[in-house]
Amino acid sequence: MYIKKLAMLSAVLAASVIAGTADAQDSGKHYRFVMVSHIGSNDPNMNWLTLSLKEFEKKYPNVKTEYISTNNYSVQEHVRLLEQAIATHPDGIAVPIVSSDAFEGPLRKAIDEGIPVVAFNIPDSRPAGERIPYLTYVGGDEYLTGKKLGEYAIEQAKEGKIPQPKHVVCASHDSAHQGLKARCKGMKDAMAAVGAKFDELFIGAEPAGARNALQSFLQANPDTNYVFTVAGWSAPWAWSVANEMKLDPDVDDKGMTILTVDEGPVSIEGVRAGHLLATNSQGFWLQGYAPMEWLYWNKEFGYAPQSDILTGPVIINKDNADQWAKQVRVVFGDKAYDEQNTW
Amino acid sequence: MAMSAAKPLIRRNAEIGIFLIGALLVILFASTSDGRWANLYNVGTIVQVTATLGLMSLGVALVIGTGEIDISVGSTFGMGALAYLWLAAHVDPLAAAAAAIIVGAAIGLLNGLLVTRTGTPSLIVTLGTLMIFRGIAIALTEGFSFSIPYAARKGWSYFLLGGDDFLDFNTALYWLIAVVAVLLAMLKATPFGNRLLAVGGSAESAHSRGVRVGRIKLSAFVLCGMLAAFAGTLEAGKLGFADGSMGRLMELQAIASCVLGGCVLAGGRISLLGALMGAFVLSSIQSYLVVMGVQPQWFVLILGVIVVLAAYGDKSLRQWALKR
Repeated sequence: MYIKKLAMLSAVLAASVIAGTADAQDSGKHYRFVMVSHIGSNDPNMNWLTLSLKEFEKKYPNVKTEYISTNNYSVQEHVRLLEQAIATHPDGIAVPIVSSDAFEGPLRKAIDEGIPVVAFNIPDSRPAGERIPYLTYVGGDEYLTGKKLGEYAIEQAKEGKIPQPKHVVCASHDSAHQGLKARCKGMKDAMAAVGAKFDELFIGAEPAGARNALQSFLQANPDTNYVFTVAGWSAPWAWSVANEMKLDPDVDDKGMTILTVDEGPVSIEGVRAGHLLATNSQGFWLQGYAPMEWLYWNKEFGYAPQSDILTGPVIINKDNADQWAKQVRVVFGDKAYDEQNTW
Repeated sequence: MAMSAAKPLIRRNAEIGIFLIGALLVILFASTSDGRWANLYNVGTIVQVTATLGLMSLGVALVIGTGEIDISVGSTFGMGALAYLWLAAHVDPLAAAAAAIIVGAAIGLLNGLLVTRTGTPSLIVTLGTLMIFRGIAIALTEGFSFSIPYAARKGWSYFLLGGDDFLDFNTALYWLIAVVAVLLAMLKATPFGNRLLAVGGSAESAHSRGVRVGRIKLSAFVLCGMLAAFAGTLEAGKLGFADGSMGRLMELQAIASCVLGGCVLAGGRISLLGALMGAFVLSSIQSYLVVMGVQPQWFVLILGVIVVLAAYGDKSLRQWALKR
């Protein structure tokens, strides 16, 4: 299954190259594709998507892409943005399925009106026959993100580089985000294999509230020795709380171990500085580019992929973090990279 | 000459400013969006947002009319949504909606009792309950959401409670029309309406004329809570989803709608139709920015600037109308 998905990803990349040669063969039709995202400008990951959309526009001058999101995220607001985007009758929509129950109505209307939809970043996690009939899903596997990071940590613990996990807490900022729940579940399943206790903690997205929630939890559960933050920007909050509580949160064979997600500057620099054991990349750049590519091929040639397209996870650890830092600096620019490094 | 003739009309009707601004914005948005804004589907989404925000704004306007303020409505909206969806999974949605409205009434009653019995400013009391009920909403869901699958949201009850469209508009619109008609009749044709505005104009004077000031204020808070919870019910009915963030920051939009619509924050003068128009203007601006593909980082800034300009335009118009 995994090999099949990787093969599919390779096919996408290869097809991207082939399509590059197809620029001159444009049919002359003009398209407008809209990405209705859950990632606002207060999240550095937005740059992966917006920059990849710009690259896509360079390659396909007959396509205009639009990126719509909000910095005050809620499902209520997201559905509103989605409906307003549908009202503009775009030629295609890319959207994360944050809640299949809330998104199904508007998306079915869009699909019924002939607007192709590609899910990105978060799929409809229901069985194939029940899910929203979108063209395909392009993105990481949220469950595997948590599971592979957990397995990596266990591997490191077996080698004696970090403590054995006893009690793991998964700190989540968005209660409704099915993808975040799946990350926690992946970590939980990985940790179950070594008999570690596991808890989920809702910390919210506001720094003071999140720190308070974490501090209270760690005080009430002193056996907790792993924190998994399901957003990169909340990792420094977890580290500083643990540090203030003298729990030795840096990566070594004692004290607290912190893991996070995403290839943003905060996550990568946390790994490079020895504050975080590991993070992951879910191929964000491809998650912006590939949905547009599929929408284009669908509109232009009628192509319809027959499986989901996996873009991650890739583990980022101290061995490859320097290379990732260089790569991300190219995408974000030095100034933005340094500004977004909140360590 | 014609302009001068309009002055008394504008002086008598505080909401005329927002109606003019609304009309200007509609013309501007329709003429500059290449059909993206002015199409039936988009107008339908604006109307749905206006309906839920409008219901909340009507309640806030009633409280403002008494010289008080209720900024807890965003959390009451969220509590109504959660109560409705939780119960709708077990009982008929209409019964669930009734229960959600009772939850809203209870929150309004708590606000009203705290304000009238303790003499604490309503701004402080409702700021506190805003946070309390937001906290409860998050705790109730234990960080998770309530939802009913799309396929299960079938039948008349769901349809009536915002779950679908009738004549191309979400059914929430028809509830809004019914509620505003009832409230207008109550304000214009019943003693309660006169007393409500009298309390806001001068509580001492109203009290000296035998008006039970505390009871009137309490009634306004209860009505406000009921309307906010009902708005939350209709939103949850549409989405089939509710979590602890439902209604967040909507309290500010509701107050802005009332002020734009000609309600005087000091009390004594409100306009229900003006508040509704204010809600429509806010929803329209938000929609316009989205359909025009404004980058998210500029969105809030531009929305704020437009709201300030609209408020300034409205104030200028009223000042002009007051000049002899």
